[in-house]
Amino acid sequence: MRLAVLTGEHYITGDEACAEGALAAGCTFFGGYPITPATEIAEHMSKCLPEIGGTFIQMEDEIAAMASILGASWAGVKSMTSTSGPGFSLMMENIGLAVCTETPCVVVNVQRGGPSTGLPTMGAQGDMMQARWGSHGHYEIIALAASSAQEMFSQTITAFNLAEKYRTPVILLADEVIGHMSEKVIIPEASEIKTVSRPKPQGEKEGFRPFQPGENGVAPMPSAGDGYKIHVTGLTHDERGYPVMTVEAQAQMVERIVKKIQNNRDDIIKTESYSLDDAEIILVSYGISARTSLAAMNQARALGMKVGFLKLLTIWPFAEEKVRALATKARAFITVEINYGQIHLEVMRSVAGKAECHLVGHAGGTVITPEQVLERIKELY
Amino acid sequence: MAEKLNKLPKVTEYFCDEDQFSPGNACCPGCIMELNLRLVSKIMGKDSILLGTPGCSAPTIHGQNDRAWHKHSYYACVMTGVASSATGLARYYKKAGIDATIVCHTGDGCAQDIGIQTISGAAERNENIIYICYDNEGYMNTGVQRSSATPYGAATSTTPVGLKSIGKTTNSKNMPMIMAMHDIPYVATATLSHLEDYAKKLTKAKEMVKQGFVYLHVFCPCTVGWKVKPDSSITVCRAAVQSNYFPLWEVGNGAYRITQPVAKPKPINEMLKLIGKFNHLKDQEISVLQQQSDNRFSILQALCSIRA
Repeated sequence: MRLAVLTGEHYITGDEACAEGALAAGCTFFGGYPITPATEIAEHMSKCLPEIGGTFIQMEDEIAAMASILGASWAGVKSMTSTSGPGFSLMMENIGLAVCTETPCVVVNVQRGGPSTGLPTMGAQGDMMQARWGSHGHYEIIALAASSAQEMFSQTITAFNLAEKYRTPVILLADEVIGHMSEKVIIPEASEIKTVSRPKPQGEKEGFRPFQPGENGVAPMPSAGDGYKIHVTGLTHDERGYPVMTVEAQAQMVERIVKKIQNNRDDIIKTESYSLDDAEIILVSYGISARTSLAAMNQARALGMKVGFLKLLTIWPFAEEKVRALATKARAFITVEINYGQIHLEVMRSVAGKAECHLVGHAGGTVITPEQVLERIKELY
Repeated sequence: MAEKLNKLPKVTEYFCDEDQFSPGNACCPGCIMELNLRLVSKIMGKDSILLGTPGCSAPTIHGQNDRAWHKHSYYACVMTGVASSATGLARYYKKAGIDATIVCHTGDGCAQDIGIQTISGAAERNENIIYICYDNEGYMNTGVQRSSATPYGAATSTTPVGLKSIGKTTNSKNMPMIMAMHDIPYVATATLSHLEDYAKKLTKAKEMVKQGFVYLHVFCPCTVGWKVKPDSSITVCRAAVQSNYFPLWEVGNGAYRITQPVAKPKPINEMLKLIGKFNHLKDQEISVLQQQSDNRFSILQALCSIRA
């Protein structure tokens, strides 16, 4: 038997660190399906969850995996799944249902080369926009990134906390390199780990409205069986949860779902700044490419070039205010990502012509090297 | 057509034909998927199109070189769409009057779990497709996870064995019987220890697919995932048949028949002893597996007796 929080120093893979983060965050339900390079998360959960009294289920496909964690969430537990590209595509309809029904859950996408089956065992960062817009309709989503095994641990906890706080699915975008890389991970004492649980309704059960927002725009969430009348549907619904097929109800519901994220951007968006104060050129990156970027920045600084680095811990909502502010001081941005320009487009949008925007990226299958980034810095400097 | 089926050539005659499946693959030592595919492709002949999915065949065969499948057209579909993609091909060729055999070849994870919706749909529509499921009782390519074909008690990486865990706690899905209940023209089970039997069924499949959907369920031990000695995979196949764990049967147009009856079935434990993934099982758990196997066989016998 083991404790949920495995306090101590460990030498584990990013995938295992992700599973440990989930357990530390209070996850007690995992529904998954094997897929490279995320399988190790499911395998680790299959061993550990039963030991802490949780539930691990291998479902028949990713559609079922995603649907199962929504059911578990409405039963009142913190739930998650993990997958990679093809499975992420299959999960999209249910991710939309989670958004619409404001169901907290965590989806980990350990990205591999795509499109389609692509490069199952080789890393990429090509699902960034899919995480943002993959399900149909207009909505907001929270997506995080991790650039080390340690961050796989901590960002998984953050993902659960944000999911619970804002009653929304949260996506953790990792990549094959981070998922499969073994590194030292320090797991603190359980008392030092901050965990958040969904707001629960108080008071009268009669007339309770499960989608009536509280102070931060988020409605308290009862579990099935708590005694509250619950009607959960992916149809456009009012605060009671019942379908209302009108233009007004659609506007009211979508606006609530969008604004509960948008109005709390300051709380949700996290970045790390490296040598930005005097930077003439700013690197913007996340995931494994963040480590490339940090190395490139250090090499450039050693050569006397004023280069800074903005690391994105939160991908969605995008840190546009931060980038916009930096654009008034720096003369160029270089987005470093393993695709042909997805977050690069967001940087361009946020910079809005106030500085040059460049991309160092490729189609996937390997990491970007610091030398490739440094070369571009030298060209621009 | 019955007359024609009675005059089937022997399996050795097929092996005199040109090999449609060429050397040069990266299967694990002792893997019998290559033997399976060689037999399938020989009997299906040149005018066939093979469809598969991500799975063992991806990294070991069509991912390794351009030789193994170079005499066939091969379409690697997504796991949720094999029988549907095959439908597109089959419908077009039928409409165009082109005599081509459409053969789907996937593992049990695709056939029984993620792809069962499309197989069931194609079977109900009675598409002119041969679907061959090579059943290695789990997701071997991604590192030995359980599937709905994984039997009770088997150790996999997602049904780990521990102090309180015996491995998988539920029975496997009886997929060939599920397909038989679709009332399609032909369903059969086969394995690589009985090549003559398998060859006859493949030949029948090639004929019966002209009437509609055909499903073949092939028992294919995985030496790595099952912890079987590389030289023992055929032995395991034979033991599965001789214990009635995997009986060889067929059903064509409603008539069930055991094609390789076993006079004195051996206890299932004779087979389990050859397979590492069952090493941890105690007598009580073995008897559960024996009971499940017996139950399934008695259902099969009952169905065979209806015809009689």
